[in-house]
Amino acid sequence: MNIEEIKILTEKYFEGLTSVEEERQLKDFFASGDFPDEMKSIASMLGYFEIEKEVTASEDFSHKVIRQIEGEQVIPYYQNRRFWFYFTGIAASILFLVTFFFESRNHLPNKSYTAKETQLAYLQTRKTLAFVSEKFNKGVKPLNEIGKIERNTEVLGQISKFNQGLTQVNTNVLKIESGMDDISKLSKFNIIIEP
Amino acid sequence: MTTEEFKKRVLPIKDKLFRLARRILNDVEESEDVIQEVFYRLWVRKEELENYRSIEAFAMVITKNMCLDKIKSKHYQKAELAEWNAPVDYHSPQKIIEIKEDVSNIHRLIQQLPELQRIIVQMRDVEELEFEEIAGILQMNLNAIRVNLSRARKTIREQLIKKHEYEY
Repeated sequence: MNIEEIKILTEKYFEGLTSVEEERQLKDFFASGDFPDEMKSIASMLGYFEIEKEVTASEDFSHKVIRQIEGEQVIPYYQNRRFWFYFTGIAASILFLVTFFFESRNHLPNKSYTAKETQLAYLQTRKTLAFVSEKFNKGVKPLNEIGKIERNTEVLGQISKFNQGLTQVNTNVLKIESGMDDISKLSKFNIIIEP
Repeated sequence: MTTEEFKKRVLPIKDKLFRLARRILNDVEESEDVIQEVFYRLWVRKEELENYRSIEAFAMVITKNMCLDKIKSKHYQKAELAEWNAPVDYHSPQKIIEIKEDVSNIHRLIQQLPELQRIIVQMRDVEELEFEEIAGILQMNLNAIRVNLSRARKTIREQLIKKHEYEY
């Protein structure tokens, strides 16, 4: 194939009008390395495509797939972390909705009351609250005894007197120490005399 | 289909699928993960596979869809343009070595094209599929594929020429 034919094919190539066969011819031609400089761009492109065709998945890829299809590595969906993530989320939402549904149904006023009934309910509630408050006051009474504890702790104020006594003891001890010093001077005197 | 038949007839298309996934996702590990899932799906439907005219085309459809879904999912972080490494060692004339220098450039240029153009370039220029096959996989008409392919090829050429002019 001469260079003129190659140039025509190249133009067709960029218009997307070449057949797979013609593109193969172009690739083979430029792979020879014998082409004019102004055709460097298409030569580089086709060279790149030729190299890219050799790209392969990593070596152990086939093994991975075979292990998977032979069942050794098939992980059931429920052992998948994502499954548990969604499962707990969905379970919690359902629980929440169910609880909410029943609770709200219990609290919904599903009938209206007559004036007499409401009056009765009011009195009943008052009676109950009064009973509770009476029992509460009775229960609280023993807590008054706490005041006695306060009075008794006043005695502890006497501790300061104990402190005063201690300082007196301290000054007396100091006096004894200075006395001891004098006595040690006497012992020096003894050493000089002895020989 | 038995395991042995699956290994013989389906597994060999792994590299082609991997290259397509890599072209779309631009990440080797992500691509292998997707392809592994593709094979698992093919295996699950092994009884139906006989009904397809081309298992390869069917696998490419699944691959393409899974990759595009992955890109659309909000958890997906778009991969950086990875450094391109030549997979084969060339012992060739000086001009071919110059081409090799251009190659990582071209890779970057192509990865910057819109997804559809990238997919079509991969199927046609790298895998050398016929337009009819590509049209079947992408569910597009022949003319739309031609137009997209031509646009992609011209963009690559223009960018390359710009770069060459800048260099000299």
